This record gives sequence, C-alpha cells and structure tokens, in this order.
Amino acid sequence: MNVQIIQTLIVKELLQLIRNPILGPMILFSLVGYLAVFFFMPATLEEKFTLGLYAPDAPAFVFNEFKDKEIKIQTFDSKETLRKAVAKGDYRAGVVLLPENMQKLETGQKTKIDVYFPADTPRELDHAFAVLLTMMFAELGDRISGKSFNIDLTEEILGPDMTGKQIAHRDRLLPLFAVLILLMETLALAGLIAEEYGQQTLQALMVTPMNLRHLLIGKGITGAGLAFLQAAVMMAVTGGLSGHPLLILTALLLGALMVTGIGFLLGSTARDLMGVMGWGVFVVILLSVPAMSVMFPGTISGWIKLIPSFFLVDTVHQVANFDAGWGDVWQNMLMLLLSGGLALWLGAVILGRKLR
Amino acid sequence: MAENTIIAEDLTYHYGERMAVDHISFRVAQGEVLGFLGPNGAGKTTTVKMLTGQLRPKAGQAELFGLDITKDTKKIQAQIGVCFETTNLYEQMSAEENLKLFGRLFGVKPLDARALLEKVGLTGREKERVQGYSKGMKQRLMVARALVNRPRVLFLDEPTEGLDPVSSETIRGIIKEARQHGTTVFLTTHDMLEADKLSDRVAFIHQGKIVALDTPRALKQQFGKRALKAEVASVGGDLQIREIVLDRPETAPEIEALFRQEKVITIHSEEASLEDIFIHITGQTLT
Repeated sequence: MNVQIIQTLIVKELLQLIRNPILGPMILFSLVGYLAVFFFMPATLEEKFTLGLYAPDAPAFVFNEFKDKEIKIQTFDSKETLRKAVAKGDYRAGVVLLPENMQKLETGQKTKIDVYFPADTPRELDHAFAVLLTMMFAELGDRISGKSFNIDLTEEILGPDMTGKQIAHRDRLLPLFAVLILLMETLALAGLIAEEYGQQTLQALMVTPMNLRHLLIGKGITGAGLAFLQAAVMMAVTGGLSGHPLLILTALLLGALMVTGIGFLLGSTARDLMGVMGWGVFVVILLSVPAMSVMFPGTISGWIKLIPSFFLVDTVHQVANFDAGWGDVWQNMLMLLLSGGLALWLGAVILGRKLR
Repeated sequence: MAENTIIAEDLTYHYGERMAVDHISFRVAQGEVLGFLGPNGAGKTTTVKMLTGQLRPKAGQAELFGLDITKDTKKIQAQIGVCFETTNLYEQMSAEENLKLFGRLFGVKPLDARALLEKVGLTGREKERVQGYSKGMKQRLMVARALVNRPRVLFLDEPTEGLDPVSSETIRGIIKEARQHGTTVFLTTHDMLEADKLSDRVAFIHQGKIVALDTPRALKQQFGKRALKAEVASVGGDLQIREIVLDRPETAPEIEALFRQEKVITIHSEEASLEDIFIHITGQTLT
C-alpha cells in the first residue's frame, strides 16, 4: 500500500470538492444552513395536548367533551396498548375510563381514574392536564346529573422519570441535522465519483502506479473524514457533545462510514452529477425518515428500524437529549457498526466492479 | 538492431460479438515512432488500451520492456506515458496542479512542472484553471501530463485531431524530441500526412486487422504509383495537366515529347500518399 499515493488522492479529492461549483457550496451550506436553522428555532417548548383514551362503553358525550376542549384524542382497544403508546411518547397523556368508572360517576360515587404521562413530559404540563381533566369531569357531572363528578386522578409516569429534562423542538431536530449533514457528504462523494467516471479522468489515473484499492481508500477517507468532521462540528456548536462526547463521536464516525458506503453505491449507479442528485434525493428522504420519529413521536411505525440511519438517529437523540450512556445504546451502536460495515463493503465492491 | 520495446503477438479483443482487434502481431523497436493508422472504429484505441493495461486482451499477449502487460501491469504503467483521445484533465485544477498531481502519483521527485509547461507552450497560463483553456491548450497539457514520468514509451491517441496549426506543430515537435531522446512513440492517428512526417514505420489497421506494416517509403514503393506531373500552356493560354507514369519503357520518349511539343510551365514528381495506399489496400477511405 503506497501511502504517498493515498495522500495525493485525498488532497486531490478535497481540492476537487472545494472547487466544484455545485458540490462545494452545497457542503458549506449544509453545515452553516443547518446550524442557522437550529439557532433560529425556539429553545423553549410549546405544545398542544394529544390524548390517548381507553374508554370501552363510554358514552359519546365524553368524547365530545374532549373535542370541545380542543384536545386531540385517539382511542385504544386495551389498557396495555394505551400504556405502550404513551410510554413511547406518542401522546401527551393517556386516560383510562373503565365501565365501572362510568357507573360510579353516574351514581355520584367517588372513583379513581388512571392517567398516564410519558417520561419526558414537563411536570407543569402533567399538573395542567390533571386540573383540566378534573374540570372537565366537573362540567360533565353538571350536565348529566346537576352535580360534579367525584373523581380521584391517579397519575403515573411511564418509563424513567425525565421530569425537568424535556427537550425543545430544535433539540429534537438535532439527530435529523446529523443525518442530513452526513448525507450531504454522501452526495458530494458520489458526485465526485460520477464526475471522475463521466469525465474519464479515472482512465488517466488508472495508467499510473495507482490502483483501484488506492482510489477507494483515498475516496473513502476523504468522504468519511469530511462527513465526520462536519457532523462533529455541528454537534459541538449545538452543545450535543457536552454529555458523552466519545459516545456521540463514535456514533458519528460509524454513521460517516455507513454514508460513505452509500456514497460509493450512489456513485456507481450514476454517470454524472445530475444522476447522483436524482438518486440522492431518494436516498436522503429515505434515510431521513427515522429522524421523523424523534421529531414527531407516534407518526412513524416500527418498520423504520429497518432503515440503518435509525440507529444513528436514535443514538444521537438518546445521548444528546436524554443523557443516555454506552449501556443504554450499545445495541444501536452494534447495529450501526454492522450496517456501516456492510454498506461500506457493499459500496466498495460494487463501485470497484464498475470502475474496473 | 535496436531492442524491441513493444511486442504484440496475436493480440485480440472483442466487445461482445463485435471483433475490435483481430489477432494482430507487431513489434516496435526502442526509439522508433510507429504510426498506427486507420479510420474511426478500426481498432486503434482498443489496441492502445490493451498495450497500456486498460483492457485485458481476450487472446494473444503483449510485452513492454520484456514485461507481460497482463501480469506486470503496474510496473509497465510506471514507465509509460499515455495521451488519451478524449480530454480528461481535472478542469477545476490549474495546469501546474494537474501535472504535480500526476508527478506525485508516479513518485517523480522533484517534478519540474514549469519546464514541462514551457515545452508545450503554456508558460504564463500555468496557474489558470484548465476549464478556461482552449482545446489546443488542453491537448498540449495532456501531452505534457504524459511526459511527467519521463516515459520509455509514449502512447499518443489522435494527439492533433481537431487542433489549430500551432498546437499541432507543438505536439509534432514534442514527438520528434522524444524520439531523439530514445523514447518509443506509439502514435495512433487517421491523419496520414502527420503519420508520414513523423513515423519511422506505419501500420494500417482495418476492421481490427493489420493490413500493412512498413516504412512509409517502402509502402509507397510497394503500392504507390510514381509519376511526373506537368502544367502546360495550351494554345488558348489555359493551363492543362499532363501526367507521365514513371518506371515504364515508354516513359523517356513521353518526357522528351512533352518538352518538344508543349510549353511546360511547371513540372514535379508525384508519389502516392499514404491515404492513396490505404485506399488501394482496403478499398476504403480513412474517414
């Protein structure tokens, strides 16, 4: 392995990238732009209630009462499914209204109503919702029997108590930005590969002492290095490295290797920059989907775990936003290592075949 | 007798069903300029690609400096220079950066990029990005790039095609200089005049086969028609052309009659061009 050749190729790649009229600005914008979006977003939280409800046999007026208060409700078939959904953070609260609750309410007897909150709900919101619920049942009682229902709310926080650790929208966006930054580098790397092939500069390289392995290593180091560096800078500037810097940096490095492999694959499918962009949009959207589960909990199903970027997104989210450690995210890291290694190997093999 | 730098034996390549190079054999001596001539699609570039290790021959073998091109590809590539038919420079880099990049890949220390650029007439433009260069300048830079490792064999694939006279002349000068320094030059072209001027020997390739291989002079003698051409003034004052074919018993009396009976304005000998010979052999033109 000739180190001088690889060094020369890395310098060439960087020079090409910086001077490329499309890819150069794209790389710069991806870092500056995402940082700007992050800092323009409010650092505080402002949310509306979404409520999960398990209420078999509950009369329609109960549902209407929630709707009148502009609370979005979703009914569940069982108490367990409701608990799971709330624990996942899909709903701001979950309420259980069993048939015996309704019977007691109608006969004026005191009854206990279970209310669930997800772990990251601010305590103020828990209290506000409890008050709101009490008022609602008072109104309901007035309407039905002329006197307030006598209820006793049992509040339960599902999962580890994250009181005081609630996160703002911009922090929820952080994993998405990390993935997008890495993906911009993927597009840039794939673009350079496609240009090298389309403009036949590769032919000129291949009649020198350089071989295909040098080329793949040179491009791989440049692509992964730049992707990692940009993502690390972004995390550092946004404070994402304050808790477990080594863990986050390791996750980003594995993510950078994964996207480099994807860059190789993209580069091997396209013949020019436009082709890369065409396929690239599809890849960017696909790999960004897992980040939506962090931004909009409950809107995405479990199948997103099939998308390898999920393990990066989830790790960054857990570590940067909830102070998770190695023990909490080791499974994600393992999957990230495996998917990154697989993507890199597959990309190198397919690109190598095309270039050969 | 100079040592053979290139030896090709039964070299063959086909793209699927289409035969591109059909069992060709030839040798090129050290310091020789071999003109490899043929129309587009005849197999010239495919031959260069096999000899430079870009394509693996489907059959036959080739050696450069006694090394097998399929086994010692990288050793051979370290000692050759290739100027491609298509412009393939790094357009966002300057001429100097392009040369230095390849110099480092070849491990040339130190590379005098300025001297190379001066040789191809690009002094003063070395810091400009290549994307702003004319076609002729780019082609000259490609030739300079092919020289960075002081190659023992220089492969030039249509180096002057579509170029202005100045750029073409610069490149011809470089080929002559390389030859003087003992570099073997493998020149593919369909410009017969250029091949005639520069080549020690020429090979005609047609439909993947070498149909003739010799010095231009020998080919002309073998296949060409030697003649005298005279411009004579007619009675009305118009110029007319008279042609007398040489090497026949009646040649001398015809020349004598020409001077006796007509007013000769100009007279010159005419020999067949390589293009005429190519047409004579293949029945086809070069274009």
